[in-house]
Amino acid sequence: MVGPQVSVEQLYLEHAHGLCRLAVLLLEDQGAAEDVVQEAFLGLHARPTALRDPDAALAYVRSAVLNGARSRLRRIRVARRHLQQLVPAPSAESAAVLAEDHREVLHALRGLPARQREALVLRYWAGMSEAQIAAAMGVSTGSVKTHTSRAMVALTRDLRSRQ
Amino acid sequence: MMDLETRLANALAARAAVVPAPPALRIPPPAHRSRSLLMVAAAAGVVAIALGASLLPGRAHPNSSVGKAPAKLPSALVATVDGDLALLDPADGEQRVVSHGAGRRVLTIAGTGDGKTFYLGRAVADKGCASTMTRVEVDAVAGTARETEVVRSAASVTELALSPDGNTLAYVLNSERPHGPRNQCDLSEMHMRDLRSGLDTRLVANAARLPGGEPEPTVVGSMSWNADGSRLVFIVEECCDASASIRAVEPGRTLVVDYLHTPVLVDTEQLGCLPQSVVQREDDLLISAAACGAGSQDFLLSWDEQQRRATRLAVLQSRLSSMTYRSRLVLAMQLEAVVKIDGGGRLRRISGGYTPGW
Repeated sequence: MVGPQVSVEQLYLEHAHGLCRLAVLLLEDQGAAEDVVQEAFLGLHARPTALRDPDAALAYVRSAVLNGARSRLRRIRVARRHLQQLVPAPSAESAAVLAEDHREVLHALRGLPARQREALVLRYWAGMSEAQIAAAMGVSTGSVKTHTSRAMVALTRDLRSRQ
Repeated sequence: MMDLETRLANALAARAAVVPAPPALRIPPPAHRSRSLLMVAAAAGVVAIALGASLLPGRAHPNSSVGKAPAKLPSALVATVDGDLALLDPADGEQRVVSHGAGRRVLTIAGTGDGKTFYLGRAVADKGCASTMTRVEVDAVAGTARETEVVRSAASVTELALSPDGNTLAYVLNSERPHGPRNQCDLSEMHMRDLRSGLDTRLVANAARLPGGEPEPTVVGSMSWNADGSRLVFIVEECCDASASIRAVEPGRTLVVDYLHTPVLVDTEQLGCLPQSVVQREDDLLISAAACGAGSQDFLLSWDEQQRRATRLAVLQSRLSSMTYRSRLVLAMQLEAVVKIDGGGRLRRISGGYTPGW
């Protein structure tokens, strides 16, 4: 049993900002994040049957945002080989308003592999359970545990090395 | 030292809070669909205008008693860090202890303006969000205070504001998010209580969800009624001191259930500062603001709603909290001192204390 069909516009109004924040946490680039979110909703627009169930529609867009962000990061890594450039640095505005500790943690987070970063962002920002994260990332709950655990070890090591 | 999980959650929340909203969805396809989208957009515009018109900021009521300075200012109530209560004479700053709070922290105080009846929020324990809201009757002659519990909640009563007629109490309950960090009370609901009937209604909450479905942390800070009790302004901190907006509701005229549907009077971007506390005066909003401009100084600002312009009244040595306005004077907290602010924005420390209510 599903609820009434929703429109892409309605879903966008309710969830685009939250998903844009998710994409920024993964990409640290506002413009790229907006593009990823737009593409995710356009993908939903092309699949009207997905709109029959609002929860499923949201899950579809969320996964599309994760996939889109991962794909962008992959392209950035390729570009990095040529340009010797790491993932985009945080914008000047965001850096200005963040506390020192927040900046340190976010810097360490940017050094993690994409999947580990996704697992941490979905757990500690979006407040999702392991099962929800697994569904969103398209992996098993065991993989989520592994990604999370390895990410926390790496973060701890990185932050200690800065002290 | 904070554990890594909390540091991570705070850092992510702070970064997310400063992400601007994305532009409108751009769907290319067929002409007839574009037209229907235009119609939706046009309809939304009409609703927004109608809502905005119904919530336009009102000026002070011309017959309001506020603004006419009484012969003697009523006493304020001040709490100490241990939860004791003292009557404060705003004229000379003299304090007289009327109650011992047995170590239970006072979170906020609001008065009816008669110098005798106050309401306050008290923490139940050192940790967690649980609290009580109590009514306090002060006998200035006997030097005693009697507290009666009005509300007991698993959430934290952190803000109180009594309407000018003393009949309606607006208050904020802060609770933990279902899957959020423990003891972090960062999910606010604003309630209104009719003190004659005891009827309690939820006025505003945050319906925004994080991508996982978890409620988005949002904290309501300062609250202040206008002179005729038609409008209540409040500060919404999106998270972690990263951005905030001053918003308004008209409780008697509109039924508002979501912060997102309350009009923004001014926000961090427009102000160039982070609003910390606000009071409505007859001609302006008096705003204590932090991290202003490149120098990141704290200022006391006057915000002219008609001109949409801020004027700096004073440089602050530290942030002001718990501002409360009566008879053209403001009492506020600066560190652990009560300061008096006159109409021109001059600050004068008058007494020690923890949180004043008037």
